[in-house]
Amino acid sequence: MKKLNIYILSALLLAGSASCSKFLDRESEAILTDEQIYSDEKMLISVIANYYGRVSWGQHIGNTGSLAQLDEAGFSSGGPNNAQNFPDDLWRVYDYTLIRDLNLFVNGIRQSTLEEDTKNNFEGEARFLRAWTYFNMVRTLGGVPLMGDEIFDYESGSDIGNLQYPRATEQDTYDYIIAECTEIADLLSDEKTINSARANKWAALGLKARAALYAGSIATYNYKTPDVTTAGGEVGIPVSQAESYYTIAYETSKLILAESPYQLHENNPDKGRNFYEAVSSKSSTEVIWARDYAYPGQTHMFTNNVIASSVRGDIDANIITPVLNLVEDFEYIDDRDGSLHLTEANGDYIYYENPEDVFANKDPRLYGTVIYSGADFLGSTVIYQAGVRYLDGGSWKVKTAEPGTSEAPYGLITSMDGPTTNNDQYVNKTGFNMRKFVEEDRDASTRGRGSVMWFVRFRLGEMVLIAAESALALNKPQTEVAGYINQLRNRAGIQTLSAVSLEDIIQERRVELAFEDHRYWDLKRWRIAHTVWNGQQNDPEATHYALFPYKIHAPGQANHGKWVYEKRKASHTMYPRYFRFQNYYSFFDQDWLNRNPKLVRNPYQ
Amino acid sequence: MKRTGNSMLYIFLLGVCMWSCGKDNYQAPESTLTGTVVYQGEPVGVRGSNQSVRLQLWQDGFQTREPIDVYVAQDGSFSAALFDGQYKLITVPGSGPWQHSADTLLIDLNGHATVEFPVDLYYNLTDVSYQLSGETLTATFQLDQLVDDRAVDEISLLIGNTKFVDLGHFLKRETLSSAQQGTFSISMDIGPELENNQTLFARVGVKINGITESLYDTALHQVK
Repeated sequence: MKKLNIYILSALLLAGSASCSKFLDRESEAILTDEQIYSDEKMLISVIANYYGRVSWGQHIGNTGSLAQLDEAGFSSGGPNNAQNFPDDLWRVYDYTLIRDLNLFVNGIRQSTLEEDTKNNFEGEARFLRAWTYFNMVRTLGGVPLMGDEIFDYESGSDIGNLQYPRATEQDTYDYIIAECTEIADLLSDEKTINSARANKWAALGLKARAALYAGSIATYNYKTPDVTTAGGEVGIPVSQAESYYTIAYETSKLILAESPYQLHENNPDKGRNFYEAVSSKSSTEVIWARDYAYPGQTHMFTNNVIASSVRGDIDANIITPVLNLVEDFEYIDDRDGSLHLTEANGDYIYYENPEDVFANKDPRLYGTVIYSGADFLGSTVIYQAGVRYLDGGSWKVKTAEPGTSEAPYGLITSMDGPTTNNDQYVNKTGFNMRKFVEEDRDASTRGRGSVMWFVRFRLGEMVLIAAESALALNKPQTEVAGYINQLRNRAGIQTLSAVSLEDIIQERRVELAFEDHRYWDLKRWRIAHTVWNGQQNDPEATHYALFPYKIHAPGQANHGKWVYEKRKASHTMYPRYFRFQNYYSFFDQDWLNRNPKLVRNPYQ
Repeated sequence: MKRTGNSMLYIFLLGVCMWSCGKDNYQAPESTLTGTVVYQGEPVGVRGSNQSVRLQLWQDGFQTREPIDVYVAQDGSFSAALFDGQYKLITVPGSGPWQHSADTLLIDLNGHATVEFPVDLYYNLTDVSYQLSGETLTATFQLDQLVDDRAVDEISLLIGNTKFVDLGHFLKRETLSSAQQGTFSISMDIGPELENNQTLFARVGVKINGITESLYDTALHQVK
């Protein structure tokens, strides 16, 4: 009987498992067909979101160290940084995997059954990201192979010679980006997007203006580097092309200024706060395209990494800190020379009542970019104090200690916020902290949460500067050129200019766009990087400097309790910045050359 | 963190000790190539630190071509450990204070080879002499212009407290600009440096317009 039951049971089980569901013929739930994707808008958004997440190159807040490579900030946590040269592969981009993915998307969306407007917008976004990718390639490598909308499939035995494209000239690469942006602008919506996260018409035009400006300035200034060239024009643009590029940059930037829905951010009467909000707040009215972040899931560690010690939410702080070079490049409200007044003509220190007095009347944009001694952050005042200067038998002595240490009778010796010259982790070494792109939320500086601060890629302020620079190059009247620059200077709250030279534009870009991934490319396209970062010791521009505030302890004397400031070489940037001629174009990787013998090497390679 | 690093290191070292008698797949190169960069038979001085100046070795006959970088030392000498074979030695455009030429030097390497690698200079720096009188160091030298289209940016007299003295590593320098050719001298007060350093070395460097690397004298002069 028992045996029979087992037989019946097994028979039933067998019948059950062999029922009519075709187990092996099911449709996959993990692999989607092209048709499923290109007919569903939600699918398309998740596909394109993937591409948006793959286009951060160069300096950006997802990579804290990238902001310390130049003369804006230096590494501060731990031991000294002993980098000497800019690497031969710095920030180079050669992402044909992404180009192929984007081309698949472009071809797929064209077959889509969605409405025309929706289709166009998706195609525009994908082509914009492709143009942005090429732009990131050309600014590091010079001319690169242009694939157009081509997608190759490799089957075993097919001739790979057809897959190997030679490099286009640098000029053709810029022309391609400009032509693409012109077409894309008509495909894309002209309305603002949420948190400026997705590209619209104005982002495409912004890229067009920037690419044209880069090409125009390379054409104009590459005479300064006659050896940075290749026989086939893969690197370098003929000077005859300069005017037409500048014209494109001029007209495009003017169009954006006139017709776009963006305005220079001017919502806060406090000019310093206003500039912080213009770049580092999602309420800004001028940001055209940004890498946006959101919690949970899409956060970064920038705030955690760079926050000042006394306001941090976790153990990390001060991974990179701004250098004095940048601070001194911010002008005074009524004085174009921004050097801090630290000593009298005879070499004696100038004594300041309050820590922030030495920064009085500086360009308010300094407040929005950098935390300096006496400035506020997250509701508390950040005060840097390297040590105490006291009188000992008639001569001045300096006393320093571990950050946060007090000792009678001096009181606090060294501030929690440093600066110091020791090799401790997370301790400030330059006397400043970042404010730009640092989120004002203590949770944002914790390891667990991270920050949702965006990274601005295009904003109206840059478009104003492009208009000014291209107008200057095209010999437009000085009133017009100065008019553009003064829009920014008025917004910043400093004196206006009546005549503008290229030096003024270099200066304005340096401070307005600090930490926004412009400085390196700017100095490259003007062909002055090798003179600014000349690698020579004690060179005022190539060497990093720090500012060490000391409190005076001299009871009974007039200067007791006042502050003096010492400008000194940054202890943790060992060597001056050294930009060699070979850094104008990054090297092609040997592996790429091996795979594609049609590629030409870059100069000096 | 540090402790983890150390124990990782010990485990790694232990691993190395245990398996060190195993055979590598490849033999290490045993032949050596040594040489000097010369102009008219005289060595050319360059910046020797920081892998600044290099030549390239190429070898024909392989499917893919990848150069071997050979770095030039301060006195113009270089050396490389290689496999036997035929190599082509060339200058790298923009690396070194000389003109790039497409000429290659063919080298047959079998065991050991010493070569002189001739280059065409833009400027030639000769007859460098140093004099220390009191606390003033004076360098006198002859500079000859060999190519018309290159100007001199500046000439520097450098002192440093290590044997590596160049525009990237120095204690003090005095420059002379707007010099093209002829006999020049540069003087510099080095009183504090003489007092504060155990040793002092001096060198002359000529920065030529548009070239990353400067031309230096080959003989490092020990001041102290």
